[in-house]
Formats: sequence, C-alpha cells, structure tokens
Amino acid sequence: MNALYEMVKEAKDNSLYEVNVVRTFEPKIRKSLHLTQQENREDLEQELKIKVITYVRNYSLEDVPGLFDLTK
Amino acid sequence: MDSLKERFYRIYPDLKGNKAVESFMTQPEHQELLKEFLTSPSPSAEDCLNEAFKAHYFGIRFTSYVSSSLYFHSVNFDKKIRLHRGRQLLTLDQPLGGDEDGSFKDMIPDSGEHLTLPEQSLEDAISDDALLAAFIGLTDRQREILDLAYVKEMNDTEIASALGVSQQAVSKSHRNALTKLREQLQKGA
Repeated sequence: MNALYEMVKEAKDNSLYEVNVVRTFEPKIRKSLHLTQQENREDLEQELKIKVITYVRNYSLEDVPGLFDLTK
Repeated sequence: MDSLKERFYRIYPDLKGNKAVESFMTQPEHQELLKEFLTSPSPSAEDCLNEAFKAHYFGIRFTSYVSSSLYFHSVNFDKKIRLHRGRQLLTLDQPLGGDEDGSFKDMIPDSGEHLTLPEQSLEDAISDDALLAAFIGLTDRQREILDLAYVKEMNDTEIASALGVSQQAVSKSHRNALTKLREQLQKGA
C-alpha cells in the first residue's frame, strides 16, 4: 500500500494526522523557501504548510481513477 | 513476471504504455495481486488490485499536485511581496531623488565610531582584577611610562623626550614594569 495514500486517508478521518503529511512534504517546502528572500522565508513556510493542509482536506480520494476506470 | 504483464496487457490493451500502470507493475507486492487476479479472476481479487492501484496512482497524483502547487504558490508569494514592497517603500529605503544614486539609508551618520571614550590611564582600561592590582603596585614612574606607551601609543624615544630622561632609561623601566606585571600575574595564577 502506498504510504502517502494511507497518510492522507488517516488525516481525512482525524485532522491530528495532517501534520504527518506536512512533515512528508517538508523537504519540498524547505526547497521552495529559496524562491523568496531570507526575511520572508518564515512567512512563506507557514503559508506553504497551511496550503498542504488545505490540499489534504480538499483532495478527493474518490476521484482517483481505479485501474479499470483507465481502460475506458 | 513478464508473462504476467503480457497476459494482463492482452486483456486490457488500453493500459499498455500508461506510465502509472507501468510503474505500478514494477513493485513486487503489486505483482502478487496481479498474479492472483489473473490466475483466479474474482470480484474480490479485482477489488484488491483496484484498491492497490488507486493508492499507487493517488501517491503519484497527489505528490505531483502538491509539489507543483507549492512551487507556484512560492513564486506568487515572492512576487506579491516584491510588488507590495515596491509600492510601500519605507522612508529610509526611498531613493534620494535627483541624479543621485542610493537611498536615504545611505545618509544616516555612523554614530558607532564616537562611542569609545578615550581612556586616560591604563588603570581605567584594565578589566582583569589581578592585573589591575599588579598595575597599581608599580612605581609612579613605571605606571606613567606604561600609560604613555599603551594609551597614547608613544614609542620609547617620544616618552623619553616627554619625561626629560634618556631613551635607555625609559626602555629599561618599561621592561622592568612588564616583567613585574608578569611575575605578579603568574604568582596569582
């Protein structure tokens, strides 16, 4: 089973687990911080973490096509 | 294992060449499910395979979605801040205007250089208690010479002419004073 899938599923049931998803994307967030200047990085970091949480909340697990949906 | 894939693609030719399906097939635990599905096709086996693929496909889609969103959000964030800063310049950051380069920030005088008060004597400058005690224990002449040498930064010849004695005498008492200080410090240590 895909670890991320499990994680997001858990997070959708209980928002306490959302932090796990944020932690998973931590390296990507840190890399993105270099796109802005030093003094704005803390702000951006916070924004990006909020973004990840909204993605987790809004991304629909049901919309992911199954294997046999792809055949059509 | 390849024959499994071949068999699968023969049934579902549309899936051949689909990158998500290809990467799904490379993982051993998925191949197990596929094998089960192909050898004994049943709704439950189909479900298992479908669920596993869903999870796999979700991982790919969600990661790429979040990654690119984070990237674009960062770019926009930086753009917004630059725009805002350009419009709402702090007074000191504003350009001087006219033909001059630079901003008002460059006009601020440096107050730091006036902060150090010149010490009149080494007695005020020494912060180490043991050294201060040793210094006070020197003769008046020795202290005067050390003051002139280290506070006023004069050389022995200048001190000699200021005190009206020979340069050799100054040099000698200078050396004696330092030796005495060192002895006192080593005794204390």
